[in-house]
Amino acid sequence: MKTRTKKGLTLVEIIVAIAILGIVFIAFQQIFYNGYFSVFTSGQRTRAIMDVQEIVDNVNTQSFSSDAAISNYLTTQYSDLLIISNQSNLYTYQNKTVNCFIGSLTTMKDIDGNPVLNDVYGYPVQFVLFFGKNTQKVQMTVFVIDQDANGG
Amino acid sequence: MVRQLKHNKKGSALVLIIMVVAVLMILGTALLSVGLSDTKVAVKHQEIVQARNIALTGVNVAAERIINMQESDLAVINASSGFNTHVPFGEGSYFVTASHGSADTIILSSSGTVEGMTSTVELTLSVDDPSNLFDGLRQLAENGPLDLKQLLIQGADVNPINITINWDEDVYGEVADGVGVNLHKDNTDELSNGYIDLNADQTEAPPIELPDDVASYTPMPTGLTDLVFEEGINYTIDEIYFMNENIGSITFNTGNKGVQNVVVNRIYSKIPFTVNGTGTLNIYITGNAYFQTPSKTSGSSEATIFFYIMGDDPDVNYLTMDAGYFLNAYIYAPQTTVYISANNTEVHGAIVAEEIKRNDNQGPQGYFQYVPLSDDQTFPLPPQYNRSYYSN
Repeated sequence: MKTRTKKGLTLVEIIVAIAILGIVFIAFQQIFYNGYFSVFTSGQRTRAIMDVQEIVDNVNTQSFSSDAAISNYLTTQYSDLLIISNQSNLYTYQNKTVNCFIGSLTTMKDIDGNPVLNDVYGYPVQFVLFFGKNTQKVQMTVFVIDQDANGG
Repeated sequence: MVRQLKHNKKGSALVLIIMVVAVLMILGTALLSVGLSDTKVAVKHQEIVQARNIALTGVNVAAERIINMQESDLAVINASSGFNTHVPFGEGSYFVTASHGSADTIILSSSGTVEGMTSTVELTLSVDDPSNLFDGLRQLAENGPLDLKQLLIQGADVNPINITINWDEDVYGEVADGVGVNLHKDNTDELSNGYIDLNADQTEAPPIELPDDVASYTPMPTGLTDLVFEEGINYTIDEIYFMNENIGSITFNTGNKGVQNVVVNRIYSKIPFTVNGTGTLNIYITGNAYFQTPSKTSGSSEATIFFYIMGDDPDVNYLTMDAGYFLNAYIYAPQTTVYISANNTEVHGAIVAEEIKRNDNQGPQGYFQYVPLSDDQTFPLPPQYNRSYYSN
């Protein structure tokens, strides 16, 4: 009569297997989390880019003759936008999704700091939009031409 | 033995675990890889959008610069600071070049760069060549961009004004009955007398703008009996006032093909003035004018005179062309009525005004011959631009 070994997995084998799996899961948990986080965050970033671009496009289609006019327009149009008076606070989340800093009336300057296109005056306007529990941010800058200063 | 090995299950759990771990590793690595590449794509996308905004800023600033320069000459544009140079802005920099798309268009190409990512925006400026602006009555004939609102030429039964249109286009619009005006085309066909009512949908004539460098002009004192504007110098003067037709003189000097600009607030003058040279005299009158135009010009060929009248008093702006012979004179006064009288002077030029009337009180009338500007004549008004963007 043939004798077959019918022994299945022993308790020791099971315990060892579970232990190995556990170690592996723990080791891979961070990888899975990082992968998921990256996908999720990039989606949020794309959305944030679209949102801030919408603001930039909106500003580009308007005519302004002062920084106050820009400020008034933006705060009227976007309730979740905060005009920052101190540029050093631009990158600090302050309970609004978008921080905006409007620079003073100026002209462009070349890499040596010399004025270029120096009869075109405008305001450099920086937007910083926070996302991802306000730990991530997207920044856009646009030059808003002053219509009055440029005769226009 | 083989059979023993075949049926020995010992260690199979380890193999199974290794396989599961392998699968998990592949899945984890794939997810991480997808996540990281997604992040990279999102960041690159952000940089491209930033670069595009910077490029757009560059092209808009450059366009504003060109319009402010009142310039359509590529050589001048490209020589200006800010073109063909990297200008840092925001998160990166831009680089703007200008070229001709056609004779009437300027293409501005701006490349914005952020962290090595580049985006290009093109802006096409369609230029209405300023030399066409005063191309006689061509604008009337071609439904051009100017809205002269109404060209009303009133004459008298005696001493009619002859107006000749020396180009091929027809004159459209209503020509009403009138007296004292003989409207000719190509010296052959006589058109009806009266006025030409332009199409209502034409745009406004561009406003007059003073030269950019007017602050640097030399002030000329008022009250001088003999007013001499020296060659090579541009002037500002508050008032030119010579109401006694027997006292005083006014002399401009354009030099040989030079340009002399004079900005004056008011002109009230009954004395003729002299323009020496063969260049261009631009007289910007920020108020109104009542004056006689030059009695003579000197030099091998006549100077060309441009009158820009900003005032809008319909009862004041009288201009008398009484040189008695050939005269190049262009009048741009889109805000007001201009009364003209020619005194047998053959005036080559054009008049753009809210309304043009013959001044019956200024003696016998001459005739105005409207001819196109020659190639080397341009009217120093800002070109009119239309914008169209293209972004890659």
